[in-house]
Amino acid sequence: MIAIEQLHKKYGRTIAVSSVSFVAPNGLVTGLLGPNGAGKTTVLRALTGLVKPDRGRAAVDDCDVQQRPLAARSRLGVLPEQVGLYDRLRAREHLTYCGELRGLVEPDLGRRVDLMLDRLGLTAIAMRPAGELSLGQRRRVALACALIHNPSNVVLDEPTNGLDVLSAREVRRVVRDLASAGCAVVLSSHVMPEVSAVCDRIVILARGLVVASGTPGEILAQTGSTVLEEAFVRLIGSEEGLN
Amino acid sequence: MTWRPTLTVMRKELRDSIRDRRSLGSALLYAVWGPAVMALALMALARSRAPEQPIALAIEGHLQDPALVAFLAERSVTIIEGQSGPADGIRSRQLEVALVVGDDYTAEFSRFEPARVTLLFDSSWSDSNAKASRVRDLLTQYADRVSDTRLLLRGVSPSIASPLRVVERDLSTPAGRAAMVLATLPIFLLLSAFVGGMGVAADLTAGERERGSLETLLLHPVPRVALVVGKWAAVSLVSLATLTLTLWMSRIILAQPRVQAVDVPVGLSAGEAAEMWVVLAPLAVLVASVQLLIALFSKTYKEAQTQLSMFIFLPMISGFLFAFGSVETQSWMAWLPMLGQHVVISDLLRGHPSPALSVAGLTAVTLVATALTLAITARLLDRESIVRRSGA
Repeated sequence: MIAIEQLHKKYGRTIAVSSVSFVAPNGLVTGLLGPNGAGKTTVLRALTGLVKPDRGRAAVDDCDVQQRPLAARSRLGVLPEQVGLYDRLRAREHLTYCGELRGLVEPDLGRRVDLMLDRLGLTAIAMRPAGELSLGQRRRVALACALIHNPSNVVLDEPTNGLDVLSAREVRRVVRDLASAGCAVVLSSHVMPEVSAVCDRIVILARGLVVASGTPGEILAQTGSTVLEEAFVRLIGSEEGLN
Repeated sequence: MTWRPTLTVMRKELRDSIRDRRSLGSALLYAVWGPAVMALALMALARSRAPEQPIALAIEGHLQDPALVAFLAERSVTIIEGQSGPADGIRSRQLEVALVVGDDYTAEFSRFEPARVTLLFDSSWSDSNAKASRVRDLLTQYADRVSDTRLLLRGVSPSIASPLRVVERDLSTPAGRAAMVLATLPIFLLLSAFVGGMGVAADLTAGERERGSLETLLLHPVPRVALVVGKWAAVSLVSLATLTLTLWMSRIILAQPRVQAVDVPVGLSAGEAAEMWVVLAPLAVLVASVQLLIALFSKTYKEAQTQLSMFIFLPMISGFLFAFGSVETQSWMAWLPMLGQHVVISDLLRGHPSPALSVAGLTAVTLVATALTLAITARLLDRESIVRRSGA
């Protein structure tokens, strides 16, 4: 389970997030929605320990991210918005590297690498350097790295960004499978149809505040809308940030 | 701290660096061109210092002085008579040195008057300057000899005309002269500790930031210090490989006959090279840690390269100040990383190895400085401003 409690963070005089709280329970996909500058990245970075909140806390399976950063990170799989692969390293080498840093050893390591390559359709390109891969392939390699240690909590920042229709569909299937397996998944996305199709719960951020949260049905009912995109526009008060 | 993630990071960084021809190429290239540039400088020095190098002396006019011609010929000076317009030949660098003999030379010589000769050379051209200096010395010797003979013929002792007799005694040892000649060698060797890991350090920090992989790396449950030490170990290994190769190439190049033509013993025995490696290796690992720290503040690989290039000026400036005598060696310098290594290597080349205790002290100080730099770098990786590429 992932929990954010009363999170507050300022950069200079700019308030990035203020009193943000939500819970991403096990077995559900929680969508984090918001226009650019709403504070999504700050929330995700606080969750991974890369940002120190001024107040409040982030916890992964009850491990405080600031107090026990290594324990929290070991329970978390993260796909950042920028995939950050090493161009000269092969896809398989990326997975092995991430697995070793997660403490996996042979023969488990080799089995997990093979499983993730197969699950994300990467087996055919396993021996190709990341620099030669397409954007979609790179994103799938990064996702495989995030899941190599079979984490119980997953944070995905724009997981289908830059993917073609088939690849995006495949990634959405993987996300649903993770939730079905009991993972707590937090997914940040701009793509409304994707959020509607994948997320069980939605947290909408605007100007650093949580403006709505609940199931897609609850949010539609709350705003009197029939589609999520319309509900989103009504909640944030503008069309900024929509694809 | 567990060593497993450190070794994992080191292995991965080494594999990545070996595949990066850009960084590795610049490191290994130095090991070749560094000693090669040094050898070229020594060969130029050998040419200018060769005492009995044959000289072709162009003569304009008629030198009707068989004694002078014989005197010069005995000292490897070949006379080329009948040269017209030697000044143009020197300006166009076809002639190095020439002598214009006045029309009245024979008459003036016979009348015991100073016979006029004009020496032509180009002082901005080192070869011409060196040969003119030697011809001037020979002409002065010849003039003294003629003068002595004339005085003796008149029953006057030549010593009357010489109120002072200057005797020169060079007290330098061959090793000492070699150290003077090789004053720039420590700079080349120190530089190898700086150049070797530069590209790799830039790639492992600023390069990681640029492509966004630093943030991904920091998401792993690994202590920051383990990540930093793994990266530092990879940079250090590349630096040490460059240092080893530079010393090895220096040995080969300094043993070449054309370099050996310098009138002082130059060369690097296997023992001396090993001693230098022991002295320079701690510096190489310190420099690797400082390079990682500097590059961590850069946003891009190129920016890091620029900043690290400026860092290279440090050993060059201090080295040249030592080499050209602007700085006197002080005892406290032996304790400071870089200055200390320079002093120890210069002493080694001069044939006066520093006491083992002093070298051990310098090594300890250098390694403590390395540990401190790594600790600072690891702490910096916890700073949001270092990791963050964009705000909320």
